[in-house]
Amino acid sequence: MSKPGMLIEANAGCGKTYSLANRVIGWMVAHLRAVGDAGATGILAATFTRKAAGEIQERILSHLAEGAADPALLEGFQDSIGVDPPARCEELQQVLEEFVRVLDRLQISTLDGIFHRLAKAFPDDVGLPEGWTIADRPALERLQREAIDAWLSRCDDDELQALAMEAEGEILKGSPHGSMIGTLWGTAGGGLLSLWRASQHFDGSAPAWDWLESCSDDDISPTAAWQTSEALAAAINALGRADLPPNKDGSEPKVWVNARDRVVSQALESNWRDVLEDTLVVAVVNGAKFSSKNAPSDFEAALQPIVSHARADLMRRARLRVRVWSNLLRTLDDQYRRHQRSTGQYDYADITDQLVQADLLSEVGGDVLAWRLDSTIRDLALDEFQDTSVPQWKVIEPVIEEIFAGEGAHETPRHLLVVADPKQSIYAWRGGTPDVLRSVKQAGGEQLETGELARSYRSAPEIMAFVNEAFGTIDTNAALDGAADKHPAVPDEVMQRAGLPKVNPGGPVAEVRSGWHCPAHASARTELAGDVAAWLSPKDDDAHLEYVADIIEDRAAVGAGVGVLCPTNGQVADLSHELRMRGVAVSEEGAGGAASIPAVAAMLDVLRFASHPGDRAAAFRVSHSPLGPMIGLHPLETIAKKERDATLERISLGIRSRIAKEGLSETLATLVRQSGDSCDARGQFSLRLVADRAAEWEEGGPRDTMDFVRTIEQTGFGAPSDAAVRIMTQHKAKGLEFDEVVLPWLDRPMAKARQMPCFPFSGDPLEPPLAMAPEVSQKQRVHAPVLEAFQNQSWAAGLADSLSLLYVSITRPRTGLHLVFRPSDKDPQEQLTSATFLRAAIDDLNRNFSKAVDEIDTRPKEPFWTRSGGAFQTSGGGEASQAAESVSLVRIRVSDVPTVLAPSSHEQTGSIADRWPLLPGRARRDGVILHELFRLVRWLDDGPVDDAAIERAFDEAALQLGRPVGSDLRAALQTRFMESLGGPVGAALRREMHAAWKVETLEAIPEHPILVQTETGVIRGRIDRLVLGKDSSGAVVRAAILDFKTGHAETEAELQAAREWYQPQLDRYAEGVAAIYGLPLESIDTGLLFVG
Amino acid sequence: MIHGMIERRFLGSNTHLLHALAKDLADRHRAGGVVDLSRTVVMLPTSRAPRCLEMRLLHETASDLLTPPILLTPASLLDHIIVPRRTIASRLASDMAWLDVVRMLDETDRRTLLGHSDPMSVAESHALGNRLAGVSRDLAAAFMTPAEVVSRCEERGVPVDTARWAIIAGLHEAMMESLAAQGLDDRDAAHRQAIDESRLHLHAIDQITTISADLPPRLRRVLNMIADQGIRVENIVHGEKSDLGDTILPDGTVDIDAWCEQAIDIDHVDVAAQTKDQIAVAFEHLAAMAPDGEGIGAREVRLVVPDETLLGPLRGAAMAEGVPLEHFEGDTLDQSPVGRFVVLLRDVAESESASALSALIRHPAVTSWLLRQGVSDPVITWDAMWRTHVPGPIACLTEIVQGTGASAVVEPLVHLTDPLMQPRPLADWAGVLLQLLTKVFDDGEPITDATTRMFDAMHGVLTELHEHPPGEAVAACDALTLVMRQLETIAATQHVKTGGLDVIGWLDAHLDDAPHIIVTGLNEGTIPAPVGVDAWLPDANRRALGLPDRRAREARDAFLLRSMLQSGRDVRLVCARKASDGEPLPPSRLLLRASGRALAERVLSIIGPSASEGVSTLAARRTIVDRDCLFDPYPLPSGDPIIRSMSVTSFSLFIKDPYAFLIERDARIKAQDVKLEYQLDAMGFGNMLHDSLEQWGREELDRDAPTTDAERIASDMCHALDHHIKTTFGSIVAPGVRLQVAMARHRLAALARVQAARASAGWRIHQIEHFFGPPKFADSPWPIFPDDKGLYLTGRIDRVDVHETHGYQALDYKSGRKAEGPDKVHRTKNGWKDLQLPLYRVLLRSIGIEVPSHGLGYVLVPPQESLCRIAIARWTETDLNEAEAEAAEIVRIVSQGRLLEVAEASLE
Ligand code: SF4
Repeated sequence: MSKPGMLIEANAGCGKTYSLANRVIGWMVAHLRAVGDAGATGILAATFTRKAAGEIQERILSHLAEGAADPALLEGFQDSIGVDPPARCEELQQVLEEFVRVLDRLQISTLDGIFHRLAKAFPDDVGLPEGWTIADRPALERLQREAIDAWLSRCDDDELQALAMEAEGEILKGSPHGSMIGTLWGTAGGGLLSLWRASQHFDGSAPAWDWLESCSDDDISPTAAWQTSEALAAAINALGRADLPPNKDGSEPKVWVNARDRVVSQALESNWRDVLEDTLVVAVVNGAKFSSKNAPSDFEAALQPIVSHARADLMRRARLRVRVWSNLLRTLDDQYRRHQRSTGQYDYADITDQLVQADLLSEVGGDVLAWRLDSTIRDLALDEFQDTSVPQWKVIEPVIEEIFAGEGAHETPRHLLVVADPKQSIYAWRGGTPDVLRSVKQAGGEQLETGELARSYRSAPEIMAFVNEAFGTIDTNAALDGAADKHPAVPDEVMQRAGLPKVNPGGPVAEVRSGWHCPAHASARTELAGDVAAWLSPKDDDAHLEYVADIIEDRAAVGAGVGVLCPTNGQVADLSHELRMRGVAVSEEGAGGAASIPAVAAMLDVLRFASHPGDRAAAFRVSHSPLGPMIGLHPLETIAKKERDATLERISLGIRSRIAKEGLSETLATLVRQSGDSCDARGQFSLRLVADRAAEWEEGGPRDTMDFVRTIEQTGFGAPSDAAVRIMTQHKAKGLEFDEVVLPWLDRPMAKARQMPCFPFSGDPLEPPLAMAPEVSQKQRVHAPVLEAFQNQSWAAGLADSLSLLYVSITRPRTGLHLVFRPSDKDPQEQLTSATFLRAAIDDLNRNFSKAVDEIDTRPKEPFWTRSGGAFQTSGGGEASQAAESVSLVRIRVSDVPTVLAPSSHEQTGSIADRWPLLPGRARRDGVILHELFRLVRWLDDGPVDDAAIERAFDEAALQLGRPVGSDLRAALQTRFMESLGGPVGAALRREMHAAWKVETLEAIPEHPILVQTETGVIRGRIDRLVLGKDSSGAVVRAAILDFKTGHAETEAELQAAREWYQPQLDRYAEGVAAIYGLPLESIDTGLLFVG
Repeated sequence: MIHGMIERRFLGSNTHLLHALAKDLADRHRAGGVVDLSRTVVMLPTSRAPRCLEMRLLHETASDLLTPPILLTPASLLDHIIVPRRTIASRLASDMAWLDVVRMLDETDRRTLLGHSDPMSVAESHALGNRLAGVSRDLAAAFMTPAEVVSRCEERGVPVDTARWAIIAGLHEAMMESLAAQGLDDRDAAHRQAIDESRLHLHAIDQITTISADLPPRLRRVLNMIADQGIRVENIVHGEKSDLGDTILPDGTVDIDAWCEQAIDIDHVDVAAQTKDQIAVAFEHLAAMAPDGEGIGAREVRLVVPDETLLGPLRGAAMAEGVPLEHFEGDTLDQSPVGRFVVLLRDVAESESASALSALIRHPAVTSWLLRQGVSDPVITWDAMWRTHVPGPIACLTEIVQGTGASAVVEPLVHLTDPLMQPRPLADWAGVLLQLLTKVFDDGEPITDATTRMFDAMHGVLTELHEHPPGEAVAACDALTLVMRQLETIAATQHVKTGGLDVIGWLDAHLDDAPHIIVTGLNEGTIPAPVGVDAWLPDANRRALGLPDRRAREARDAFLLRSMLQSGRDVRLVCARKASDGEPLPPSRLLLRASGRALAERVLSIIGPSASEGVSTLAARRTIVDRDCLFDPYPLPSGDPIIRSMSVTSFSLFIKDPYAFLIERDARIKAQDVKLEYQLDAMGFGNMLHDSLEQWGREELDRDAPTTDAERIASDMCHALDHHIKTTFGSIVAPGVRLQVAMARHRLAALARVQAARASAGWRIHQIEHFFGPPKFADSPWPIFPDDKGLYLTGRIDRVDVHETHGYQALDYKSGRKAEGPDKVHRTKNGWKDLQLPLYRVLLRSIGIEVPSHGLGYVLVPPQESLCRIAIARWTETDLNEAEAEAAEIVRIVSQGRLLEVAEASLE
């Protein structure tokens, strides 16, 4: 490879992963040749999903193994490995050996994963607090709410009043938290706050937000000017009296009269927004006819000052909105960061932002990087590069620049590989932009080689031909032309007046078209016979669902692996349900609809009710579900009113107690198991998923159960399985392939501008936006035409996304593509949908469509158009879903493992404070020490204990206490010890005590460990003092077990209580001693000695 | 035996390690029918192994008199043999000392250490203290202090963050000083000193036997010293000397270099399709082990699950297939009910907010306590209180609920947590906490074993806290966080044998002795245990300092795997092909210990195209039989609904959704959702406006003449609003509500102008918030509609105005955003969808007020001030008669018992 950089633009299915894996292998072989090792840890390979990253790694591993084992296979790889002379099996073996040895240090991951690691390695440089983590969504939402609250708390009364007065209706929509969180943070990223961050320059300024302020009113809205109230009154008056264009009979047209009166009253009420939006006003301003008549000039003249004034008001509102938002975003961003810092909770996008701000990779040298990460970044392979966001690009840019600058190359040259398919860029809403490719080209210049992959190893020639037809004619597509007419470019002079650069004169459609290159697709799978079929389904929604289900059922019956790709999660759920009802096994891979599965909804209701016993809606539903009896809840209506609340409170408490004791997942698992008989397959399957989710969720430690409910509600889940029919969203299908693909919904509008309170206008997508404008209605934009340019950019981004999504969808199949069309009154020029786009692209498809629509009632159920005309064949690659082999149930016999009993096991009542008192430290210490001292005594009759032993006892006590026993304490306790030896305790330590045994010898064993197996289990422990009485043969015939107890038993009652408490323990010991020495229990005495 | 050194002792392969060890110990210590191991220390690395060894010893000494050995873990040896010179600081005391010094860091040092100079939050300072404590413990195990890190690294030529370590060393120093000032010794420092001075208390020990493939430096040093004193110290090696000799160091630990390379022979690996499916593969094995259908004894097999995320699904799968599981360890005390209680208390102490109490009250022990106190329906009452008052800080809570029913629940709760509100010396927190625990958990029920274990452990922590030397006052949230941190280290359940299938962790696996062992989790990232990125001690530094690094772990795990494979048992290895999200997972590199072609083949056998894609999946094992679904999202109540009255506002719900009407209005059900929000919901916001306007209206009604001055009206209305806020939200209003209050004020100002114009036009208020309803609360008799056989009609009429010429108007305040007029709200082209205003007329008629057909309307108080106005409906008598007939029909459906049927039909 001569140049350090390589940029490959690839069509779908052309083996991107394959090429990338082999290219990386090539780098390792080259490294091996140059310096003797493969340098695997110096390669960073990044892609967009964890799954794709895993696939790259797996592919490298398997190609290495295949190439190492089989020269023939290696031969096939040589081209893409790209080293000269060609790689040899032995070299691959060597590389493989090294590669598997450093599996844990490889850097093949998502960009998020790589950034996470960087931030962990450099928290101080990145400015993250100690202990930071990636938080889950409920936690982040809490943080967001708190940030909003903190921001609100900082506002003083006046500010709040101003905010409410000026902006209540505009931004808060009545709910300080709910709608604001959505607007600011977006549901999955992409909220206003990320726009705010994107609009900040390095110095922290955000000039885009000042753009509106820097323009004069009439730069934006021509003729906008406040009128004096007199002038206004006069104008309104004049308008009321102005002549209207007469009817033929000379009378005033009713429509005009009404419209004029409406405008007059709106103006009188100072309702300027309505004035501007009024259809009459819009028509007059545009110089267009209203109700097929032009306005007379007086009328126009009278209207003029009113419109000027209303436009000035529009500008006032527009400025206000931008100002309110920018102030809010500035303080809120700050507040949110503070909150994140203080709790240490972040999401991946925040980490990327922090890395951008720290400019980490240019600040930190390669050596430091290598040291902290235990791996270097020498070579870079970036897959799915079109989905990279600008901030992500900014983080890695320094490395790429270094590679091109030849920096850091010691023994071997460095490499960059970028693989992208701009046509598959479907993450614009998350900030992904194919424009980053331009940056790579700029950075690389001469150093960058480019290549294309156009041959598909996935799809049959017919499929590729269809893709070419559909997307190769994008420049002349009539449906796009129609959209272009509706979205004209904003004229240069309008842009210029507002201080903004010119836009593409062809408007947003031309913009999108110019960014769309569709190199011809070819197929390497010429052995496959493919088919593309267009179907016409009924207009009615239910009938449509059935029609689609028929097609799928039919294809599944043939044995094809079918991917059904839907625009939304709701459709995934609906269609899955429909098919299941017909007994077709499906893998539902949506993300929503958890709550639409009745069994799951009921389970969530149980948890809602557990948290909120007053949630009688949940309680009612649960009480009527199979879960009701399981938690002891009778049908709500049967509970007497006066007992109702108390009953609900009690049952709810019961569930919470169970969760507290057993954990959420176990509680749910039990309920799931018990309710298994009560629901259909989908319900059972989903319930198990809920229980599994709970197990995963619990890993994060105990939290509010309602957070779990929210997590399930928000993320939802499908019911993935290994069925041959897989139903998912189009977004999810990226990176997958199927034998056949069904696209059941092609009639959604292809582009919509996003709903946002403010829109950016960018000169260059890679730079911060130039200007921010408020969202205003289309009718008001007539009065401020430059705002259309903002709208157009947002609309164009949506269009580009939709085209990509369509492209992704039709390039998934290996052999069969089924397009389901529905009758529509609109012709392709009218409305832009995937359906009209395809019809406009392919003439005979469109013709057949029209014919089919005419004959819809009489048509047989067959495609109205096909690409090959042949019968569908299956690739044979995807087996039809086989019935799962019958599995033998496992049986585990419960083994009769003896119960191990610790002798202190008790079950008893008593107050916690009594049972677990906090003794004064001193008393506890004294007890331990005395205990040790008494253990020294074998027989008091044998004379005093020797001093060395006493010292050891003190040491022993010190070990137990974790503190030294000072000399004063020693002296004091030794005295106490000696004194008490004179008392009853002392008496117990004399042989005399056991005289009644009448045995030959007595043996005292202090601190005797026992371990013994008895009939009731294993007994282990330590006996403070064991006395054995032996007969003349030396056999043990009697025994005494004495336990030293700290403290005093002052009264007989106390003594009695203590005996009761400790007796079970002593009995267990006795049982043990009996087993060891083969004694009957009657021969064993037990007793307590209170040692003060 | 080489005198003065740890001796390695090979116990051979093809045998189980603990069996061999038990036999070895028994044989060597047997004398005349007595096996006395009382002076033998056996150190085993896990908590499970000692139990196993004991059982084996019992087995080996069945006919002897056994005195068991002293069983220790490597970590507890030092505590067993070092006599303290000063009081050893408890873990808690040293955590506290770390926290203290961390909080004293100045700005510059914070910047060097953390990269920012902002004041540290509670969370961050605890996290930092925690990390420092951990790092210094790790270093101590390597026989080092933070002060030595820089020089050691420099000696070995490894880069090191000099500035950072200077600060850490300083902090460490300060921490020890802080302990010393309290008369305490840092445990690690005390141990080190004792070792340096050879002060070991060994009189009760004759022999130390350990099993450790990787002795940490400090332990190694101590063991050598002990050996030096003539005590036998041996490290058991599982394997043959002839086989392993070169790769095992003389002290019995693994040679890292050798074991990072050592080939491992592996016959077969089972590859499960996804992580969870490893359970299925294991179950397949279990089933295959007992082909006669007899089943297999739990003692015969052991399941090794190193990946903790698999434990949950395993529990579920085992439950589903009726496989009994032995209780396994996992949960720590912080997850127990007591631990959870402490966490909730800490949150209360930290935030001092009502929302923290809201979580506390849901703790089952707290709810039960309240119930025992005689508080009825505590949580229901609390939630209802929340909805109206949206309380902020605890401080205002009592004030807000004073005199309301909610005070019954609020007061005890506030009282309970009151002791948390002021700082006190650390030791004093023990008493406070014990008191709280006693109060809440003492329920007079018998104390179960589980509770006993929980409180035993808790008591240990409290005792440590209690014995903390006197010192400065500490905030509750700090004290409780420290307590929490101790609880996190204590296992919640002790080993309880149930006789089910035993599930064990990786380190226990090679010590285990079941004839069959199934090892799951052999994927990269699970085994060997991953080493995360560490900004302070990157791997290179760890290696230089003798801390466990990635190679050391890999060497150890390689050794463990190999000894397991050579133990003569039936060992099944299982790895997964993919994670649960479909992400391919590479096999553990331990499975790939081969070279050349053999390696390539092994790789391909696991991930190659011919490797099976889907060895039995868990989903397939869990048989699912499609049954009728008995879950009904819209259940119908049994029996006859009880609805005795209808409110004028409920008719719209009936028309829109009879089912929702049924379950909301049936007195037996009264379905309603409960959510806790931090702002008023739409209804709450409406009520705030209503209440203020009601109060204003009553004042206005008392005046002789209607006020026509807009400003005056505005100020009166705002005054009323202020009053409402004071009584409902207290002196500190939650931020979200504060903004809503500002909105309300803004709307009232707009309304004031409309009202002034109206007053000027001759309208005056006739009635305010007139209520028709149950006699107890109502302002007038309760009318029955449409006739005697009908139902009571309930309603509150916001306002009735009167005008000399136009007569009466009945008005309803509407605060909705859209500012829709009455006609739009009440009618569609298909007919009536709301009947509220027409029924106002019916209500008023019952007290003799005749409202003309054009006298019904809304007072619109929307956000947009220009839309604020009074919107009168343009209905005719005919319209209204039609509406009344419609209402009468609805009432008939309800009163004649046809509601169920209508509701059911609406669900179709
Ligand atoms: S069989 Fe193993 S696990 Fe069971 S008791 Fe014996 S040694 Fe312990």
